[in-house]
Amino acid sequence: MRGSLILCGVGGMGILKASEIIAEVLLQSGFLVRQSEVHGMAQRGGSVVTHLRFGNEAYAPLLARGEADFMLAFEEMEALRYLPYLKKGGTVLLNTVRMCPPGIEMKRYPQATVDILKTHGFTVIPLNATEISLQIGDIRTTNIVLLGGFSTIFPINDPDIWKKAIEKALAGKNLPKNFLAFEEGRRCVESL
Amino acid sequence: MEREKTQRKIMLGNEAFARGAYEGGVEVAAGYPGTPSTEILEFLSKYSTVHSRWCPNEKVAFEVAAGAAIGGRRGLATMKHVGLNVASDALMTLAYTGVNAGFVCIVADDPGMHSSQNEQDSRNYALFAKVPHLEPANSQEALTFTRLAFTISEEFDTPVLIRSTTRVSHSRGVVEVGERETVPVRPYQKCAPKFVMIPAFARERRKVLEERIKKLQQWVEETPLNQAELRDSSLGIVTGGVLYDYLREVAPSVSIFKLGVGYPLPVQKIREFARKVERLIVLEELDPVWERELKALGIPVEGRSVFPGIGEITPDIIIECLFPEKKKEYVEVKEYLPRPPVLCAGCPHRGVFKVLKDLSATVCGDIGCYTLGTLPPLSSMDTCICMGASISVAEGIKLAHPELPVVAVLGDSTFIHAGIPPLIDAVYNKTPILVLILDNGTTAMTGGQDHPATGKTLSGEDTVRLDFLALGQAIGVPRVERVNAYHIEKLRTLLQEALAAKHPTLLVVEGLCQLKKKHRGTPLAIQDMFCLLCGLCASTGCPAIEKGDVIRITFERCAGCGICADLCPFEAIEEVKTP
Repeated sequence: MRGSLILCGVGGMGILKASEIIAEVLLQSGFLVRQSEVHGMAQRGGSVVTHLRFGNEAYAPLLARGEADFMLAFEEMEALRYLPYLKKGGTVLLNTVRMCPPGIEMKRYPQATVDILKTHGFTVIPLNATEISLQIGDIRTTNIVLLGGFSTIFPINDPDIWKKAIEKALAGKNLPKNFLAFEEGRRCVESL
Repeated sequence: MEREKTQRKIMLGNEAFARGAYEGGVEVAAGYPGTPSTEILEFLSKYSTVHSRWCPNEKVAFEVAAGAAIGGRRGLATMKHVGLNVASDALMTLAYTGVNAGFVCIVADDPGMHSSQNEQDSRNYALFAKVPHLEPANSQEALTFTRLAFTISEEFDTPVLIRSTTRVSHSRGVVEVGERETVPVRPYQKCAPKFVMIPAFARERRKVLEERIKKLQQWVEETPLNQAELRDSSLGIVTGGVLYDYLREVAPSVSIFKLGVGYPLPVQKIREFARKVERLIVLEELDPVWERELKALGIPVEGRSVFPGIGEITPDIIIECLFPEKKKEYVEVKEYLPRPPVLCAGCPHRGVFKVLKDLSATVCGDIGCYTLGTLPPLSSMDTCICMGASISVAEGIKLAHPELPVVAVLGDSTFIHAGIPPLIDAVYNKTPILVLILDNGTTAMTGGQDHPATGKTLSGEDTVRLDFLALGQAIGVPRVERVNAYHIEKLRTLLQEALAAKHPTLLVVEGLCQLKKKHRGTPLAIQDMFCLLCGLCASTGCPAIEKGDVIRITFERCAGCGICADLCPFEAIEEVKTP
């Protein structure tokens, strides 16, 4: 098996940590992994993207356009920005949250992201991970809610492997809250 | 088997560099933060057996690590590409003296300028200084090459450069982890003809350097770091670094000559490879360093005629330039808006730039987060060249146009790095400029590293804290003051006074980096009934303020810094009352 995915969103949403967890899940499942990220601006509210490739062989840490099997979009407009990397008919797990860039009026923000994606033949799984994380009581668990949802559509879907990887990546953090976030994400996508 | 499995880890390239240095028996490691190199030293500082430290700048770091090697313990210096410019003075002559114990310098280039002011190609420094350089492609090679580099350094008595790039340093890959090598400390022996580079001794060492290059030229023909991989003979590509990994992915069947050593080149081996392929191309990022070398040797190669020399080379560019048939179908939509990085909500720099803009000052900036003050709506920066240049460039502009209100703006860490000599110059030559040290208590842009004015070392130990005011007074700056970054009106008055002065002034503007604050301030809200929509509060580009038909402060984003409330002429902004 070989595959690739792209994670995108806004700096500060826990995208790098989510990629790290997915990479660990893949390593524990016996795959080679290559993943790339850009530091420096990640905490300054800019656009953030990571590429991830896995398989029995995996070389390039960057994907080519039209290559990714999956996209994990942490924010609606960011899904549109990085769309060229997604393969035709690929799947988008979309956090249905809109973050307007500073200084830009909300009325200029693109409407109907889900429809745009569907029109172009992509499979869209909407999940309001930000809202779920707020219900759990910590917006910082948004990334883990999304990973919960993603774990149900990804070839490696054994929740125990995922939880182990989360535990490893979040050492010292509030684990029960994050496991709850993971379970909630899973439940929401499974019930769609 | 179980043991083997547990030794396989996923590592960021920079973590793998640190691991390689640790396994290679490094004892003293020094650097200055700079994207994409910063995490190497941060990871290394977790190994308590290694002495790791942040230094005021790359030159100091390079020399501390080189000194350790001369003294008999393995040394490592880490920096970004522009940092090597600062350290290059030491590099050029350390190449003459050689080392004692191994000395390695990891330099991380940033093709595409993800977080840099230029995209210079550090491979040129290897040619320039005549020292070998290694080109790892991924995390595994980052580890093994670094480990090996110390041995190479000792075997040939030379500094060794390892050149990384953003995609090697900031990508993750699977690595096999090994044990730390036990390296006995070498005895220190005074040897002036080798280490004191007065002209008489340097002339002799110059010859040694040339002999060393000849030995290295033989070695590169044999080392397994350079590999000819023969597959389809119709096309052969000479490449190294992460581009090798891209090529394996994009075109698994082409023949590749993989350069693990970028200088000196294994000429015989490449000639042999060239004979076995019908077409030979060099794939390299930035400068045509290898292409030039091979062409000078009469080897017929293509390179810059196929691939661009500007920016980062990606798998997409390789496909477009050489394998257009591999291009996949994709969808591109136009509906999205730009999302550039901005100064954080609550950032102490915001108010300073607002005041500078109001005063129409000519602002010479420097390297750090505050370059974000360049973009609208603050739009208040005139120049940004390199570390420390704010003060000296401001002096020059003042000389060119004495009537301009010229201000130099630089961060605390940048001031320590390269701002002190130009401040001395401004005092010595009596240039009436205003220097603002934006002291946010950390090296913010690179993720918040300690420095000599934070009072903490890399390992978290307490240390002497550099006092900017005392330093300014010792230098003899006629007026030295500190001001709170959030007291906008006080700041405005001080700036106006200083700009009218006939002498240099130093203002230390204090406000902790928003990312370093432990507690969030009470968020603010606009009382609609008092708001006359003048928009002054939104004129600072705060990401927490949304301007539409009405102006709103987003509760979740607001850090409660109060700058907008200070600016509001109608006192319409107040703290959110929590029941």
